[in-house]
Amino acid sequence: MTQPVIQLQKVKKKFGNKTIIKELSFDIFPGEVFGFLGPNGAGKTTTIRMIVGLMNMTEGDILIFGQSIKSHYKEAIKHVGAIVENPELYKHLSGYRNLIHYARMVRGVTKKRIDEVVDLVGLTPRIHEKVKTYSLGMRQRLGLAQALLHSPQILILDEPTNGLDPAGIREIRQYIRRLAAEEGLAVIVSSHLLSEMELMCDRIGIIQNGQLVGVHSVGEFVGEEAEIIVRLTLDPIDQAVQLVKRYDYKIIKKEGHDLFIRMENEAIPILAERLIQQQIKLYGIHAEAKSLEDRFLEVTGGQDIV
Amino acid sequence: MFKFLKLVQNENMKSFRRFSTLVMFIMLLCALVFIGVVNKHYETHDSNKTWQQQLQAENHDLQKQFKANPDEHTKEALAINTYRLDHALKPTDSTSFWGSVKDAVNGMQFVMIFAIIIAGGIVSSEFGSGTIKLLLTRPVSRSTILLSKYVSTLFTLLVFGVACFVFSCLIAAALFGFDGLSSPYLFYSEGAVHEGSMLLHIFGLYGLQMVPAIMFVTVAFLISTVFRNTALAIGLSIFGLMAGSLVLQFLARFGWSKYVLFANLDWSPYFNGNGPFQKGMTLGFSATVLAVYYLLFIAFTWIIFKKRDVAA
Ligand SMILES: Nc1ncnc2c1ncn2[C@@H]1O[C@H](COP(=O)(O)OP(=O)(O)O)[C@@H](O)[C@H]1O
Ligand SMILES: [Mg+2]
Repeated sequence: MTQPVIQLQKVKKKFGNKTIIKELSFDIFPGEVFGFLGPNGAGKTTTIRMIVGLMNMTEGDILIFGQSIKSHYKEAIKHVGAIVENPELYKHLSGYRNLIHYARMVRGVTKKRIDEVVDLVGLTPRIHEKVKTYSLGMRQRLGLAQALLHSPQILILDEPTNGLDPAGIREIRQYIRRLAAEEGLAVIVSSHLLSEMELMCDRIGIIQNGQLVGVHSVGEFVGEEAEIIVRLTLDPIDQAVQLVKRYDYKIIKKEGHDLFIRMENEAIPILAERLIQQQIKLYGIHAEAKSLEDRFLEVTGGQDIV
Repeated sequence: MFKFLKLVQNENMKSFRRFSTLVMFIMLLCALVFIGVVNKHYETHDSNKTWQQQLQAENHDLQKQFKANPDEHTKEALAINTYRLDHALKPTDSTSFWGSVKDAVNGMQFVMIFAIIIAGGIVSSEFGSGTIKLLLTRPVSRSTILLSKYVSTLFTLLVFGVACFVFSCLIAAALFGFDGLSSPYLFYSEGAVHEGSMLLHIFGLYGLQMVPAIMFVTVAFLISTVFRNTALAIGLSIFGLMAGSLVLQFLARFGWSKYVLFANLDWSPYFNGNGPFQKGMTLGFSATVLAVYYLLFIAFTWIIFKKRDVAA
């Protein structure tokens, strides 16, 4: 079992008497891309601010490589590179001077390393121009460059695709996957857009109202669900509905000759047998793959999703 | 230590690479040129008498004044004028090299305002732009970051002060030449006139200006950190700079007013023989009062910066 790189232990945050984060606990492992998914106002940014030490937690603790961010801030934070919300940089300085600025704040970042990172994010042709002339996408990449400068083992990106066009989003996604795969970085990405998360994450934690309502591996979403939705094509449909109701299966909807039923995988052959015994013609059985979207809608009650 | 200097270097880079900072240097230069040109203009008016004749006339008046009201000040002025006449030392008035450089010490008023503007933005602008988040997520403690910003602020003040001196020397040389470069600074003490270095005297005048400058810059830095609001920090500090002496006039009748910050900023009475603001005030007293204020300001700034959540 590999050691987690970040451990959140019953983290709680109050603003005044409003509890914004309620006993949040989860672990992040090396080399994984962890998606932090939740609607606006769920508490993603607040949690990230606590991980990087910008905000104090009311209760609980956060360990980075076993070191508490509260009591061993410097030792803990040196493993982390982050962009919290927007990539805000010094607009009156060139991209390069921005990187020099951050390079001076840690030990051992050479000129060569700066050039390497600039190259990695593809900013070489424009790096000596002032940041105020950069597009949002370029700022995002410069933000990524400052986060990677000191070769951290953990990368935290808060809504990194916000405001980017589809090409920019794809680019960020590719950087993230590459960093995790090639350099073994643990990456935390937050987003309120689940379609993005599905494409770039290994695991997704869904947060709502400051609580973690579930952590799922992306691969596991369809297969390991206890209940799935099954589409049955039947005739006569009304007789089938009566029978299904008698055995207490949950009907989701009826569409022509199709009936959508929520049930356990194991129950499919049993239901089929019963239908056949009642002389109902069964033309087809389909397990409807359940997407993360359904799951997300379900947990968040479908509210507040952009 | 090496790393700390790099942090200060960072702050300096951010301050000095702003266009507005360049504008401040240009404004300072223009103001000093203006003072010099005005002095140059007056030079041509009163030149039908030699300086010896002018001093003799002045001494004549001073002697009359001394007979009517014998005070130490008049005696000193008389002694110095006589010393000049005896030793053929031309007075360093505004149209001499040193006189012009000495007048330019008034440029420190601009320097204070510029330093306040930079101090008032050095913390709050990082909150305003959101860059504070990147600054405070490095393996450097918040205290160290704050200290590097404060040291950079003082460094900026020093650079402006040095610029004021260097500019004024260049302008004086251009307008009045190096005439009287070797003339000494004359001062009266223990019944005799002494010669001192003019350069050291002028540095002393700069030093006296640095006392309020450091206090106001520290106040601007404090407000910038506590309220995270650049306009408020600059506005309040410059208001204090302007209104301080006015407030003091109102408070002068109260004995406790000697403990007010503004009452202890001007140390020149302790050196030029003018009476202090309140009886019983000494250099040591003012230095102690300012030290107490200073430590309170610094401690308050530090505590606030260290603890607070960063929500920018
Ligand atoms: N400094 C603050 N003071 C008070 N409430 C805050 C503060 N920062 C965030 N909040 C509240 O905390 C909740 C979570 O905010 P945030 O973490 O920004 O959500 P997310 O990033 O998931 O959109 C919101 O309801 C927000 O209003
Ligand atoms: Mg957010």
